[in-house]
Amino acid sequence: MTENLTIKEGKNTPKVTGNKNLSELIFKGNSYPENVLQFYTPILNWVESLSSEKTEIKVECQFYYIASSSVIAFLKLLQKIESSFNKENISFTWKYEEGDDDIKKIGQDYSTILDTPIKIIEVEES
Amino acid sequence: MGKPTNKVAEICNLKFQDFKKIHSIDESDIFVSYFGELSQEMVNDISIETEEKMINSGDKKVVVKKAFNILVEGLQNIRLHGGRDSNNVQTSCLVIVQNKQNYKILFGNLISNKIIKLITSKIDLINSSNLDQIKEMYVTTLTNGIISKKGGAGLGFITMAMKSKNNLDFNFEAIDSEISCFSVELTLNRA
Repeated sequence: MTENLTIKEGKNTPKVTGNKNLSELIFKGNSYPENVLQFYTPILNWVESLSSEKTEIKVECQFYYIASSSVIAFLKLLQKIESSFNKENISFTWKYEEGDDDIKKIGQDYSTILDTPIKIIEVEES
Repeated sequence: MGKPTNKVAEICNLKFQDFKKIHSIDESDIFVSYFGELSQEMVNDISIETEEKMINSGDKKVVVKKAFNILVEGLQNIRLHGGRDSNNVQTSCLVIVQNKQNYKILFGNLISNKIIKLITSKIDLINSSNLDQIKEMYVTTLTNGIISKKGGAGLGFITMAMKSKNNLDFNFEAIDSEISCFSVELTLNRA
């Protein structure tokens, strides 16, 4: 049985909330842990477990700072989701703060690499 | 700030002092400087403190974010790949100098002489490419998506070049037949 996933926000890691009932995975904050595998592997495992019980998933993220190793690790997570769910049942939303072109471009890079469309949304500065 | 404890550290420290001296005569201020071994906690603290100082200096948010990214990439690079001396100390340094137009950021660490060629060719390739070509390298590396056991992803120098939009100036100074002091310097425009 998949349980809800809750990872508190750290200095260099985002808050991660995985809600099983809503089939939703939300990221908010910074992502620049030194060892990305250590941080992202439990999330990959949660997605795998969820895919055995649910047919759809919604992923929403808003990063403030994201280091290059996290950009790759997050892409791997999105690819894992693509391979575990039918494309039409996946919703990806990539949020970036007004004027933050660097974060916006990462979302656009993901769009060119992945088959699933990504909604890239500008949000107000927090 | 750690004190040099051996010959290796002394040579690195001289380099560190030289960089500070060079920039103290061109109307620049030493903004941040660190010499010694870095812990993950220090990487976080130095990055966050620099961010705060830049905000207080009136820098634009976009410049602050680029500097923060460069710092995290550079410092994590040192932690993941920096060489160690015979006492197993990962001696490294960081100096940031500020003037009206830009920031100059210098990272220094030890490196095995065996990988000098590899690092040189990597940075030479970046420096001889334009921004579009660097972006292409970035997307290719991202798509290949290899993460090492240590957690590195091979995007550090590419990301630093993309953020700074300037060449990466680098230098190796031999310490002995095994090890050298490697430094890489970036310029980030404040405008």
